[in-house]
Amino acid sequence: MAKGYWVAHVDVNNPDGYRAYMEANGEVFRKWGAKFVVRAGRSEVVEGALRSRHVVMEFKDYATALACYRSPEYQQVAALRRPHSSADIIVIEGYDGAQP
Amino acid sequence: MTAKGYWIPHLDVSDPEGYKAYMAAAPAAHRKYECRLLARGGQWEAVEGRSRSRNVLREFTDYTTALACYRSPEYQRAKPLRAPHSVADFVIVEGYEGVQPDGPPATAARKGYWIAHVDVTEPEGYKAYMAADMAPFGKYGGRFLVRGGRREVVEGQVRGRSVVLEFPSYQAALACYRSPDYQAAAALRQGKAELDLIIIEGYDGPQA
Repeated sequence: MAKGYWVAHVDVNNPDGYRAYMEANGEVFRKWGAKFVVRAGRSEVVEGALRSRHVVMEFKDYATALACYRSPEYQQVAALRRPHSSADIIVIEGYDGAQP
Repeated sequence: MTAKGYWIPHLDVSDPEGYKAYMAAAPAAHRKYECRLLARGGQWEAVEGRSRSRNVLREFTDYTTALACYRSPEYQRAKPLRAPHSVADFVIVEGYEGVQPDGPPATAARKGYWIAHVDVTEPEGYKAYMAADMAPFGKYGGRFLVRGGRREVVEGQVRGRSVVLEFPSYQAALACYRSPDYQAAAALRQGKAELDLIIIEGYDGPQA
């Protein structure tokens, strides 16, 4: 079955405030079996424009990725990040067709 | 991140002249399975117990590939050329990818990713690009994690179609983008789509 992903692009305007979110989200992600695929590594925007911090998380499927985002426990920690950042976030289904 | 696979043969060669035919035949298999020779016939010392006199270490992408190479027709054709001229203790093992003595991160090159959000303005024209990009992606070891697919923008806004590709390393991800092959394919999407594309190094620290 295709996996599910979160793809997030974030501008952090208060790094100290944002840290509380980063410390709190681990427990939620653990519970939902999420795995960090990308977490603010070295990067180059080669076309267009995006916010400055980039995260990709992998879940066992699309339904789980959505359920984690909508869960009361995630929404509770998300409230810790919103005052300190602006984000574009999509939850998206993975690909399991033919590869190059 | 997959653990690598290894061949570790220890050999006593009784007839070096006869053994040469094997050394000429084996590389066909090694090339096909893209192994890396880490040690072969260098200086050695059996610091405990005993060892045969010729020691070799070959690295493969993973354990399955290491086994597949050994079992391949190419290698099985070469093997009878060595048997009459040598005795071997030969083991194929899976590599280690856990925590290292100096703590995490656990080594291994981080992977590289493309994250693209695309507004396709001319779907028909864009199809030509979608067919042409497969060859450069294949050449640089790209793999689609996300390609279109159901989605929900849960916060903010992004363009209408999203793609995530995984490459063996950040360098490979960048090199693919900069290659003449990919740029030739990219020219096909000019004027047919608008996109935001970032190339980024993967994460290999501790998980949540």
